[in-house]
Amino acid sequence: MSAARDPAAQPVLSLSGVSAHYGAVEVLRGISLDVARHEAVAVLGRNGVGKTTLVHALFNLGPSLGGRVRVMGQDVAGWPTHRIARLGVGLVPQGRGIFPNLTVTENLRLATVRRRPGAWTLDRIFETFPRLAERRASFSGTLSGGERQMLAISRALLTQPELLVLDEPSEGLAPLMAEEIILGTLGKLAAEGLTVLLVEQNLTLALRLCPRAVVLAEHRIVFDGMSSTLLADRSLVSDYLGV
Amino acid sequence: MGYALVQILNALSFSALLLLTGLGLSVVLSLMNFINLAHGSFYLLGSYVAVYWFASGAPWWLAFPMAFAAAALAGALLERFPFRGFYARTHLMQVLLTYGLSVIFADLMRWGFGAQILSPELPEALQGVVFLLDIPFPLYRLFIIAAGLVLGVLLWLLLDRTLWGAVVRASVSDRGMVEALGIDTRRVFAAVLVLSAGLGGISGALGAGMLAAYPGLDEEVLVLALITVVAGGLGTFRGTVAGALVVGFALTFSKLWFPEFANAAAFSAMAALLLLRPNGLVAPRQRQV
Repeated sequence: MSAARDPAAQPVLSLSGVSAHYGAVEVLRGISLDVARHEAVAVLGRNGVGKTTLVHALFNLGPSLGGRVRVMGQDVAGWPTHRIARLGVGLVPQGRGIFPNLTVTENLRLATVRRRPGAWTLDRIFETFPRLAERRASFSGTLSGGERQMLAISRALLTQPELLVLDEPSEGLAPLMAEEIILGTLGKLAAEGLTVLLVEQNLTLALRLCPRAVVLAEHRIVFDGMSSTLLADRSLVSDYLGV
Repeated sequence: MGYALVQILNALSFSALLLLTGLGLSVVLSLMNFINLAHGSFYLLGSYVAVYWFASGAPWWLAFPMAFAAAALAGALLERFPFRGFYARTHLMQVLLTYGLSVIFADLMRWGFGAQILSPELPEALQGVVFLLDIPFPLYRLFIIAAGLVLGVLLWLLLDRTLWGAVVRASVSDRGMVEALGIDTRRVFAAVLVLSAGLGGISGALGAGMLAAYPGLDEEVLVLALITVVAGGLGTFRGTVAGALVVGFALTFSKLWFPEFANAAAFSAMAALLLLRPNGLVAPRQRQV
């Protein structure tokens, strides 16, 4: 990286021509996408269009990839997942990915093993989510869906990310809880300047949070633009999002 | 009464050895899904280290950390090559690799330490007998029980109560997610294998005073440790404790009651147990295999 380039102006995430295959099955084709600092971007699409594969591609958790993935300006091709995460990318995976055989506190403390400097502390998490503080000694396998999601988000925050990637956080939550987490919690974080990449099926919530939307269909990007433009385009919404 | 007590203590001292050896095997199996049939070699290496250390005149108690260190070093080298390349392979490939290695190590140790049975000269502090209800009992076996208890508790504290233990347990349930938190799980795996090998070595050092050291002991211990781990329930700490107690008591008492058929009786009991409870005494929370 040259010193002349302002790191703040660089996209925190940049995909160019990314494709992915499971064996002979193509799941992503020619995906190009830049996410700038402090942006909140929704990634939408029906089941099976490759949304989760896209998330896995960022973290090198999935199948072999074509194309180039840059995170914080660095080409991360072939990097092990932990090195990518250390660049400052937090993950809230599909299904939350909490460790059920660990307590709430243990789940959170795992994120602090790396001791990345940052604003998030265990105390601040417990202030933000008093519910987690009450349940800190419980095994996280006993938490409710909403509590698990709070835990997954808190754990990702404790890695002090600049970019937070969430894969279907509203899945399996009661509508009120989904709204509270996406608009309340994530809305506040985005307003504070956290860059958010939100993969969602819940179109309404995602578009209320994110000013920019990307629509995946048939394994490629069919729309990338303002959320208001997408909402105004009835045929696009009904063709690709089935609403 | 005193006779029964002595037999129970005999069984417990054997269980303590099985526990320490089995824990090394089971932690690697449950965390890394890796079957290490060379674990008996770590045990026997530890036994030889103890035999030579006790004879050397150096402070006797250092024999145990030395055996741990020697086996851990061997484990660290093997982890780099070739174990690391086999974690993601099938169990059959792991079995072929590690069994083959154990045969090589058996030959190397026979070449290095000789083919005769070596019994260590026990340090004075651990020699002799204590009288329990008027029946003499070797002090060294009480030492094995105490050491097994202490090391078992320490290992449990390490895995259950420390942040490092939490990393290990989390890696068992979702390795990718642990990586996504910025933690290098390959290093975690390497550390677990080194710990496992060290445990094998220290078990061998403890066991040398009871079972001596000789070519072939590695295989005998390995089979018993495998039975302990499987009977207890793959990959649970409590399961391995239960398995060690069951196997230790079964073998000790079958030798007492059916001296001619001791092994047949004990192993038939294990086979029956597995038929009744295929997942072992303590079923793991999630199947890894």
